[in-house]
Amino acid sequence: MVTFGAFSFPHVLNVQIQSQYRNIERAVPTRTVAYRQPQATLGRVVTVSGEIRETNVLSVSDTMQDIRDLNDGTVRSLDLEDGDTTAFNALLANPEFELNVENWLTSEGWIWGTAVWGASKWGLRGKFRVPYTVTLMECVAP
Amino acid sequence: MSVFIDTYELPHVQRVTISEPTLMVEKLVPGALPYRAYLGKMGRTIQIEGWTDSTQILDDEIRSLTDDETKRLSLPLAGDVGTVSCYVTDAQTPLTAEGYDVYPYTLTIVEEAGA
Repeated sequence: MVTFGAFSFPHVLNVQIQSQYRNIERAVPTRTVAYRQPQATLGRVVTVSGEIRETNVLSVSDTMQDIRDLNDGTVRSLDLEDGDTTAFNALLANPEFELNVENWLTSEGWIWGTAVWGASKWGLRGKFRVPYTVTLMECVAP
Repeated sequence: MSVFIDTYELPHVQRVTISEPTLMVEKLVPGALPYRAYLGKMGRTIQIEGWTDSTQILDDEIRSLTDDETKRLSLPLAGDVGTVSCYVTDAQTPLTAEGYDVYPYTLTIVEEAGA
């Protein structure tokens, strides 16, 4: 389970943690190695990928909206809950979702039973999986 | 998966990718974590991949979606995530010898904020 503030990301499948240090770099003519001087850390950048798995369209939409709402510039505590990494402050950025036809299985009766176009589509039932990816950037608390 | 642009239903949609890039300014601080400030969002960019069995549809419907008109994109979702006021900025319709009678298309759609 990966939590960000009070929100738990659903069905996390992959967490990638990147830690970068930026160097000042100058090419020096005639030398075989450039001049490099460490400058500053970029902090941890965590990419969380997972799937929203629901049985109705309304729940999928609500969860997508919940993740979109976290992209608001508020610094929250990110806890990877891996047993080792302590929680740290982060900003959420660049949420991405993917609707795939193979992960979008509507129950047959609902396709033919009601018009998809209209109010009844909010209650569509079936098996829905929406892969998502979010980027979380470590930062200092405001 | 039913995806509509205004009242036109896009044929055989295979994949919809929704991304919402964040605008952020980043300042490196030696010996400390970087200063990061949130500036806002670019709005949603939506890429729709699908196919059709007719070059006529590519000509008359898919490619003609790219214009300066505001459109309403309806995804098979509920609430705010389900409808987007948008512009269609790019329509790619490659024709390949291998895909006989299957003509893929990719649409790039950007959210529009309104006046």
